Amino acid sequence: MTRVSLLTVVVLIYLFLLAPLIIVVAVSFDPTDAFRFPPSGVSLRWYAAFFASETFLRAFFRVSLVVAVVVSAMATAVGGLAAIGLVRFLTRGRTLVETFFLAPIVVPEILLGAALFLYYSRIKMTTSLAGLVLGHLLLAIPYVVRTVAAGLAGIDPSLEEAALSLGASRPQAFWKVTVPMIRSSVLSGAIFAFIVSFSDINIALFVSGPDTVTLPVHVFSQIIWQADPTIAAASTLQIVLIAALLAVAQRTFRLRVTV
Amino acid sequence: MRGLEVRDLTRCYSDAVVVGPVSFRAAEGEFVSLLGPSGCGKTTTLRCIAGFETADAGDIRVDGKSLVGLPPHRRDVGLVFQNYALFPHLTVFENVAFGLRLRRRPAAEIARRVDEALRLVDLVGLDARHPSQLSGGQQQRVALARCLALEPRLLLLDEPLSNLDLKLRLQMRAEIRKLQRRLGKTAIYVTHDQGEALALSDQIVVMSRGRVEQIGTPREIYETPRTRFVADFIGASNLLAGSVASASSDRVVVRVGDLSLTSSHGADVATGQSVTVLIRPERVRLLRSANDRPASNLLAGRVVDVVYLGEDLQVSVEFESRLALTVTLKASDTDEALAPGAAVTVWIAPTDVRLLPAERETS
Amino acid sequence: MTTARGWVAFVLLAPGLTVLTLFLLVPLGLIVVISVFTYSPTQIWLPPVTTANYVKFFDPYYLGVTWTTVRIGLVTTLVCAVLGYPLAYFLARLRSRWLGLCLFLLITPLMVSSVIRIFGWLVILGRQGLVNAALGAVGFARVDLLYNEPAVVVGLTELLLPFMVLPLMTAIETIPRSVEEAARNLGAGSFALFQRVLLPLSLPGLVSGALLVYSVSISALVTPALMGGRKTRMLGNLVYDEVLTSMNWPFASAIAVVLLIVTGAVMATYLRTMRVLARRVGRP
Repeated sequence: MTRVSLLTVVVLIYLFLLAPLIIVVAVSFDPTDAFRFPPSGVSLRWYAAFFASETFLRAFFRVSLVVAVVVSAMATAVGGLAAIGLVRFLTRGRTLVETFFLAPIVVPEILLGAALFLYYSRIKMTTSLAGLVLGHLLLAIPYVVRTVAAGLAGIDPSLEEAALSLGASRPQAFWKVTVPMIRSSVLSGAIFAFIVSFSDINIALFVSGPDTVTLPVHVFSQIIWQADPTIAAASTLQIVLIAALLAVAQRTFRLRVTV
Repeated sequence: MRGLEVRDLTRCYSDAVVVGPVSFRAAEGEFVSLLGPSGCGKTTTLRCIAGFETADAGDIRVDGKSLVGLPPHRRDVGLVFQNYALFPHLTVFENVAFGLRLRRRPAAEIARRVDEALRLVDLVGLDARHPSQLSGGQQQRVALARCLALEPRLLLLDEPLSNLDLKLRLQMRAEIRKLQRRLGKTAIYVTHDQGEALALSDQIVVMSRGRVEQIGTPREIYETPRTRFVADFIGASNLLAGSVASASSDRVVVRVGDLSLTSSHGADVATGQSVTVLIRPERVRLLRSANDRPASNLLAGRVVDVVYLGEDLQVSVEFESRLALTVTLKASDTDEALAPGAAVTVWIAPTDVRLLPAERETS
Repeated sequence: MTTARGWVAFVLLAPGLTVLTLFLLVPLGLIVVISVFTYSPTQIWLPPVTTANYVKFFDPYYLGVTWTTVRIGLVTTLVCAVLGYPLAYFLARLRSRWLGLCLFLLITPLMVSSVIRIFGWLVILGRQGLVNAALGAVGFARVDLLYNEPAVVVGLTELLLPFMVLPLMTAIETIPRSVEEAARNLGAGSFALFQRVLLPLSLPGLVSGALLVYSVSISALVTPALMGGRKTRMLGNLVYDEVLTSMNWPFASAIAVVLLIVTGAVMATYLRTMRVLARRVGRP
């Protein structure tokens, strides 16, 4: 296989991967609702419809965005502390605890959703924002733990030792030397936590109620009941938001650790 | 012609010419080294011959047939990599058999040729080992055997000894040369080590900045370098700027500062021309007795520094008009204590004063 | 000294451990418990312990759904492997200037909600969609591309391809370029190179990717729900319906437990293969 034929195959595969997203963006600008490509013109009609739609706005800004920000903050705090505890302070049973923190990845998302739904109904906590936040925390914490732990592990221990030899106490050395150096891991952990929460559909499908409809869930129901290009506009906005966040994350951390 | 012929090979990277035009030949059975500092283009040239880089211009012919346009797996040239590139998931036997298996040779033939190849490189009995279980020297032999098993028309070696320690390097050097002579294979050897090139080669192609500086036998390269670069790169040298005062067919007088030196290599210079004078440190002689004073090239100076190198003494001597020379003497020869500050008189035979074209200092 | 460290560790880990225990372990434990309770239309579940929910699995309909799920999982994994290998190889050998952009383009679709991508596919494959419009333009009749198994495979493949590509790319990167060149120099054409050198040496990456793709595809819900139609139901759809529509929580829990065991086993193997791979990355 020559270089050229490999490149052709790769381009085709990338087109396959990106086709749905490209189509969604294109459709969002099409003045008609004929779902045609290339679009017959450029119009912001569907964006206007999006901003005029009470349900869409609520789903995007009052639910998804709020939940994602809260999840990001909480997951970063909880996961960051846990990562520090794991890497720097835990001596025995480290693999076990580490596996435990990464366990949510092993469980399929729909099972997490179903289990939480049943659990919430048992403890009478159904369809609240808190329930959604906690569910998303389960998805986000492993990401944060993994990125921060990787960041910590990559720090040369002799740097802290140098600080100690220059007269710093252990907490001081940690705070002044190590913490600034893991800033990028913490940031990318926070960004991934946000993205994971905002994009989640599987848990939200089970756990959200009429007052806590997230954007993906609303898109889901719109696809079934009333498929019009307002969905495309909402989706494009989500794509732009997530792509922008990812671009920021990419500057600070190797994207490969996502899997 | 039989053997390798490279003609006007040129390779460009984004509009800048990196190599070329480069031309040289290797007759059948000859051992030719491509010698030069890192970045001079020797490895690129080798990779063009192997087919891993495409030449932008020029021709490469083996036994008269052009290789240009052929993909690397159809060129029938053997390449020994600098880091050996052995297949980690295969045993020694399977590594050496790899090419033969691709050509679907019968099992009996494969076994015979692998055995032969391993015997040639003196590596019998390790068939079942994996590369990770071998030492550097052993891995190198396997890499060599892997090529030889296919009996290629041309053998290419990319600094194969640079990852070995000194003693092993000297040992393997001798073995490679012996093997190559015995098999009569045309070999192209890339190295930055001039000692290696001098010891191994029938011909040396000295390269710098993508171009050929000089092609010649080791003796020619060392004794009659044709450019300042070659003089500087091979062996130690004293290089002085001077201008020709008078020139005849067998005698040239060169003015270096306030001093005059006589050279017996006057063929290509004209009066008034700027030249670079080359004097090899080991050719500078210490004057011993007052008798036998030679006619020319007698210089009186003062010792500045003496470095003891075991076999040799490296003496820095300063003369008038701030002329300085490094002189290499055999430690066993010098009976008097040569210390900094001592006055000495040195003498250089006219035939040891070589002239090179003066070049503008390019960094 | 050790106990002081231990206390600090405990304090740091406590919040995370609490969240995970309360909202992961307990709910999952609850599901396991419910799965052996009896279904009751009025009270959802009743204490008498029974294996009826698991036995229900052997009902031909549910076996069919299970078989569909396994089949779709395997086909998706296979397609991902075939499409993913060239892409992984390309990325592994790419000079770093373009690598960032290519990785960004690979991962962005992954991070965008799956409903959005499925919406795009519906537009492309629908009866009034792009493919059919193109076919109509050249005079062919419209084809039903949606609401069948291939559509689900297409949707899942597009969703999960990056999961295959990333571990595979890491594995291929551990193969030195000079080893590839040596193989070519010895006479290997592209296929022989792949078969004899690349494939054996990148196997851990391929296995990791396959396990990951398989375990996520068998627990798919949204893709078969929107693209599979009534004919293509997977275990994920079953769980959703039984929990939210039929309210047969014991049965839903049984399905969940079975899925959990299967994915758990697959993912455990995945994590172990990744650890093998990580060790190899350290060694040149």
